[in-house]
Amino acid sequence: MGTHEATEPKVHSASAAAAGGAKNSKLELGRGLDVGTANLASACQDVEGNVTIKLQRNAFIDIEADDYTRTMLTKLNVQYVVINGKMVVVGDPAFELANIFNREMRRPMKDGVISPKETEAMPIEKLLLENLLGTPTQPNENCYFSVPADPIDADFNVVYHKGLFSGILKKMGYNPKPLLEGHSVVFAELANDDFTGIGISCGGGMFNICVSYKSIPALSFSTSRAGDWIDRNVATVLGIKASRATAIKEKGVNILNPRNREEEAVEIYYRNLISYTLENIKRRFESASGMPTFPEPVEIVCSGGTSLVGGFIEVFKDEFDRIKFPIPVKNIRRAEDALYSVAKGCLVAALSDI
Amino acid sequence: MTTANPTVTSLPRGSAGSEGVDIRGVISGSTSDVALSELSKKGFKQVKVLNQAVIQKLISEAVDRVISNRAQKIGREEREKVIHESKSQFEALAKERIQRERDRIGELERANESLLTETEDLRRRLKESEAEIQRLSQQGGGTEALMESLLERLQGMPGAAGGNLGQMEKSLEAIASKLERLQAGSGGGTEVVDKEVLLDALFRTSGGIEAESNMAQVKVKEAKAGGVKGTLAKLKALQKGGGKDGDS
Repeated sequence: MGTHEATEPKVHSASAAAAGGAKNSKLELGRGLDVGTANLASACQDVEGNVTIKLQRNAFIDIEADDYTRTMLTKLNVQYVVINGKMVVVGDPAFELANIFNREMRRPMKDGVISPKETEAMPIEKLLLENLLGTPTQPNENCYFSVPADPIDADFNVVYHKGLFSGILKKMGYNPKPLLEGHSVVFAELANDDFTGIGISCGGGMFNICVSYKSIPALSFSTSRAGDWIDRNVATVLGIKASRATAIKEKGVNILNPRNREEEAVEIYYRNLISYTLENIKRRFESASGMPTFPEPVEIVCSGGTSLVGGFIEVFKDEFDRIKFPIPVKNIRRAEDALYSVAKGCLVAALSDI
Repeated sequence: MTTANPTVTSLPRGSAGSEGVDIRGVISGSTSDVALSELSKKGFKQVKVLNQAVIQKLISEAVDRVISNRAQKIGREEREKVIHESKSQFEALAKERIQRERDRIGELERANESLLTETEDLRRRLKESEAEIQRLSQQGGGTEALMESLLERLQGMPGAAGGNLGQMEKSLEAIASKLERLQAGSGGGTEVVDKEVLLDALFRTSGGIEAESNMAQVKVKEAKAGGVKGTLAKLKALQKGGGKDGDS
């Protein structure tokens, strides 16, 4: 972010196709992009202050290609591309088809970064981003995109991932600017606290944590267990596909009140995940030398698809009470738009940096 | 054996018989008949009379006892012999097994040392690369040079997906090589690379991704989210030095 004057954002007309935003509306310059393992989300704002989010599941599945299928997919509003002679359905329909045909959907990303196992990941990812963002309203428009912080419980870094997405966005005509995922949660959710507190993005591949003081990140890191970890484990114990486990998790489970064996499995792994994450956060805070001393208790805000399950905050508070947290906390809450807050945080950063 | 005349019998020595010995014959062959009158003349007034069946029984019992005693003695020796031999064999086997395990541990230790050396080498190379990246960044255009190096390498890959680890390793080798060249060059200057060509290479697939798609015709899921105007205003106020404390 720059240290520019607080001027009104510049406004440009944009066609719907170009902007990827609301039709026939004037969009302010600056885009936000959440590059998540499970979902991709873009955010833009029009002159009236309406924020439009475009969301795509970050997934694909290959199917048999024939003329009838091609026609039907388009009629059914299902996006596909043909890569190397294979028909590939992308986004949410890939998830639905995987569950219908009892297959695993393929994922361009794994554990928060581009997947080394999916050789077709990059072309698919580029297509999905083009579809979400469209072309920039003007050349070199700022696009803040989320990147994970380095994990504290896994041995990899995000340098390649960050460079890769910078390359895609640059190729699309944007001026790419990486923003830590946890920091974007702070931008989106902690305005009333002077952007001071702890933002946690509970994603599919990772949990990203950022401790911020007056919008400046004091400590950022990630942990490598997240929603996909729950899916994988639930799938293993129930003997089902991970895609099916995802569907069970997303159909409306309340982890405070599991109703059957499947939901009990989800509840057990959720609780374990939250406990694991809090222990790691605590340990990291205790070992950090540059931790700020907050004058007042701070707020913890959780965002991301994994935080959407019923009872998440209650279980989080419950597990929080079991440990001696090294920072005084006044409240723990879920983000206002939990699924979109990373994209919104990136948008706030983009709009403030013109 | 019963005879009409009582007979004085002296038992034969060493008649340690077996089941095949004719005890009755031996007794008969080893004794002689003496008339009572002869004995009387010799001053014997009383004689002890042994029944031949009793003698036979006594001999059998004596023989059985000796055999039993000897069998016990043989068993103990045999047992000791067997124990001794077993112990020797066991020790030999144990030595052989221990040696085998020692050899295996040695091999594992050597493999472990080799891996540790390799890991250290990789760490060292990573540190060198990071230092080089840092140096390039400070000189300006470092990240771009890095990306260009990576993309240049990917351009030469079949499929250009760069997704597998083998390809990544090659890419990293190429980066390291490029960095070395940059270091050796004049002031770390970067080579001129056509970025468009490189990015095309990065996302190229053999069939061509643009060949067929309905992506443009299908509407993506859209949602309205809460506005960010207030948040933006607060952030800008903070950036100007205001914020909550400043406002109050």
